[in-house]
Amino acid sequence: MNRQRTIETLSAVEFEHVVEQFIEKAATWDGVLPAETFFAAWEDLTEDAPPLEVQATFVGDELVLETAPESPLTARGNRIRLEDGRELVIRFRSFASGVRP
Amino acid sequence: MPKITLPKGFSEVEKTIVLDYLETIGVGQDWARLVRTFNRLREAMVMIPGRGQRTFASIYTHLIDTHLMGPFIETLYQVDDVKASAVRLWASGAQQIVTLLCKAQLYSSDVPLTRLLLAYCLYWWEATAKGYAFEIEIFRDLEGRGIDFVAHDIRKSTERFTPYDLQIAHFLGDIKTSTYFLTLVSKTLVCDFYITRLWLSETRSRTLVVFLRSLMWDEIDGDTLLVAWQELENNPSQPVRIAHGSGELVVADYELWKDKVRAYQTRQEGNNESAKNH
Repeated sequence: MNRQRTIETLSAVEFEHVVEQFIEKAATWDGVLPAETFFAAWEDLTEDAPPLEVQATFVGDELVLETAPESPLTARGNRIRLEDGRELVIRFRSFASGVRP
Repeated sequence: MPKITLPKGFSEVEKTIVLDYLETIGVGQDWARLVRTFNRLREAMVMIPGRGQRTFASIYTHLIDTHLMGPFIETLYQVDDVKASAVRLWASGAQQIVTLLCKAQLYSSDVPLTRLLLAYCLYWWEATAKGYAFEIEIFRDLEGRGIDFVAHDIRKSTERFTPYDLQIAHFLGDIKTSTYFLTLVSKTLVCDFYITRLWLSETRSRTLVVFLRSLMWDEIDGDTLLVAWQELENNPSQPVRIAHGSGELVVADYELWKDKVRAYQTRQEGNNESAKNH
């Protein structure tokens, strides 16, 4: 089975070659971007960060949270691991107390 | 080898962006994502047995910048052809980064996570060293045009990190390659003007441009045309006003801007002379 090619799965020799090629190519590039690329990136970088999204569903009486694979948050069951490593736990008061989601 | 802890949630997608940068550096990349990814890596942590821990940013500053940037800049000040020499010197510096990290036992090609540290250092070396070479080029050009300015001395590490690169009259300015500009971009523009170089697809040419706060452009006497930035290329020699954040920014051709600045300084000198005589 083919392993996905990532910065971690390259062999040492392959990675050294990548670095050599990078140095050769980067040395002659002057860091000049096309105007449209530059302005689009500038606009993008100064935009307000989009909100982080968590999808919530109920499976029976249990809350199940999910995040997209590229999200910096990870969710499991009713817990969300935040970017700083802390966990956010969502608890519902019992339905009997009158609070029905 | 050190233990490397990546920022929480540093994803596979971001690792792919790093590899893609190394493999295809150039205009075809998604620069906003690239800048964000390398900014995230600043906080990556290196635990060095017996020596404590350091962030990637700290390692770049103390091991790479401290050793390589001074000699790089000093040599560029000695040469006539800054552009050509910068290519050779930059490549030599990049090779030394690999050696310095290896010697410090912070990088080995067979330890995968240390590759991210090397990539981080190469990215910043690419952005900053070329940025300084560009600054020297512009300083020389402004001197040649007879523009009166005061610049920070980038040969002194204490002056290199000032929030502005030069001062013309009471205006503060910054000189950055377009990629380095993006690396440091923020919502608030600190300076009154920014000199950078862009590629214009319409005319298939590299050109120097100046972004100015409207206040400076109004003071040095300029007319503008209000356009969306997407229409900039249709007006390469015409100064234009574009929306930026909640305000506006003027984009002018560098040669035209220099003429305006020189004329402004001549008027100011004349005013000062007549004030003295009265």
